Amino acid sequence: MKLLLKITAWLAFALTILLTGWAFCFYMATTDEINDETDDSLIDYSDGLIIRKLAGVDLPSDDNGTNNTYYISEVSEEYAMSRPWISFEYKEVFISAKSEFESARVLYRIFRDSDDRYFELTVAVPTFEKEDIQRSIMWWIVALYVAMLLSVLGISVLVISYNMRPLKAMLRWLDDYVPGKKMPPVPSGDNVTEFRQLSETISNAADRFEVRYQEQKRFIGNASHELQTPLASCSSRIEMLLDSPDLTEAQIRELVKVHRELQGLINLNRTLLLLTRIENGQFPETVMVDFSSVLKDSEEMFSEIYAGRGVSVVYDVKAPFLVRMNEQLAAILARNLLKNAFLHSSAGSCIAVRVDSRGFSVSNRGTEPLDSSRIFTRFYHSQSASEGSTGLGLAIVDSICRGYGLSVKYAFLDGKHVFSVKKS
Amino acid sequence: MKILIVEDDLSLSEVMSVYLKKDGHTVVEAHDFGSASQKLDLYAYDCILLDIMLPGGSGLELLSKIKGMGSRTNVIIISAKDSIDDKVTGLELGADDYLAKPFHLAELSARIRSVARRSRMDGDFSLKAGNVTLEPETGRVFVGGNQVDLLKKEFAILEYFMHRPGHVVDKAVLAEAIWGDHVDQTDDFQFLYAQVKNLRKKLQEAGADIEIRAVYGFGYKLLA
Repeated sequence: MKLLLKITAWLAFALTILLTGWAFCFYMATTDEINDETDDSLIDYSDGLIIRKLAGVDLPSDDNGTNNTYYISEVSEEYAMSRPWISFEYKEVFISAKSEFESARVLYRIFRDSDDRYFELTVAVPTFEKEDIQRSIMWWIVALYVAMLLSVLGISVLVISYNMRPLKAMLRWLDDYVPGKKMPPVPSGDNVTEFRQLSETISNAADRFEVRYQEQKRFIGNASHELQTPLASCSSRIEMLLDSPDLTEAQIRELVKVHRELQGLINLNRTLLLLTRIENGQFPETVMVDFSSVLKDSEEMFSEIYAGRGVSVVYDVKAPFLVRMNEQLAAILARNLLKNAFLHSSAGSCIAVRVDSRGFSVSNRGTEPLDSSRIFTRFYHSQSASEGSTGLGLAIVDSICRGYGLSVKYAFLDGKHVFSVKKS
Repeated sequence: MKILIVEDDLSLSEVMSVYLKKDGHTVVEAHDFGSASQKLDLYAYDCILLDIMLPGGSGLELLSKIKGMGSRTNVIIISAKDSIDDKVTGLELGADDYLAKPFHLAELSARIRSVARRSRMDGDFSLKAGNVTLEPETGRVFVGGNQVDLLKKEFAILEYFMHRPGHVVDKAVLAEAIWGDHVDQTDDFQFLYAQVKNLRKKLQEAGADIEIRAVYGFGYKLLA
């Protein structure tokens, strides 16, 4: 949920509660005021009637232009004593002047004349319809509510999005952030304390990431370097031992196995170093490389090495693919892709190499697609991977491509693994 | 030959020393910048195996010192840093060769012989074993004085063996040396067997008295 939406929703919720309470109070206050005024006029009117009655003057007729109705009845002393002298109530009363029932405020007054006779005066005045008032107040509240909501929403959107600009800028910066990439400074938080703190926090965190990232990169490089000497020592000792004449065949076999394992380790280490050097940009010399000839050279070598498999290679060169890059890395790129194709091709199958001016692709027949999200990560091994594979070949391909603005993609099309390299 | 090994890793230094002694060289070891520098001041060596990263200083400094003394000593840099920059700097400073760690001892031995031969200045760079002579520069091979035509790969294989007479050569190492490090250890090596078979046949037909002998299915040994 967007922050803006969330703030607006909460405002709407709070306003609903507030306005409902306010509407209730407003209604109560309005009805109280109306009742008060009505009661006062009823008292005045009844005062006049009682004075007239007691004075024996004629009482005004019922339809005297006001909507008031009244009647006076004589009551027993007990009844008079059991009732308050003055009381009010709301009642549906038949107004004779209007010949209909209307809601009315009714006043009851008990009084006594000089003969100690008790009378009850009932005066009714038609008053407002409660439902009418409630409905109209409700309508106004709803209208007010909607108007307020819309204006609050509009103002919030304007105010919040104006003030949240630094936050958005920081989010964009974080989106672009990649460890190891040169980045502009983190956007400042203007003069808002919290944003300034956030900006500083992001900046510090990014610096920490950067240091860790560099440390990690250095660590891989250093660790590989440090391993070279002991590896050389181990390998040399085995080679020396292999030369000694008093070894039995069984001993030589075991030693050779150890030596081969060690060579695997040496290869892995060397490849890791290569990867580190590529990522550190330690291959600065560039020439114009034509991939169609680089691919052809590699293919000839692999065709010789894998002659026993009977794998054929079909070329489709539409145009030369020229890239200005390091020659050594171009060869590594072509070899790694071709070698992969050779290694994972079944006997007698065919590898297709296509080159045009925009890129090249290498494809070989396969049974099931590979995990394209992980295929270019380090130490990815497919199920059919050979034992001696370092799992770094495609990671190196990816790394070389990134260094020269090329993109390498994998797809599984018509039962074929297709690796394509294009200018991105 | 009198060889000075300048290497701070004692284990590697020792194994190199033992191996080279077996090859018939006189070997002296130095494990840090100070002692190496001292030895260089006092004695002369035919060949120096130089590590670049040393306690107390850089091997490259020692190299400039050696070349500054006007010495004709051969220097082979042995470094864990297999970077082109280092290689270029080393060779520019006058090193004769550059060997990246980890290396094969047989390779080291071959490189030592190779630089020594180059510096003899007598123009004879050929390798000899039995009645076979191989000229690396011209790419020609003679058996008992008669030239034998070898294909490029066959020649490379023979040259590799002739650099290492009497030593056991692992077929995986040989394949890597000839075809580059793209040869997988799990590959079937049929391509190598085929080349070695042809080479043997050609040598035999020419009447060579050397033999490339298979060693228990894991490699070969050149017997003169």
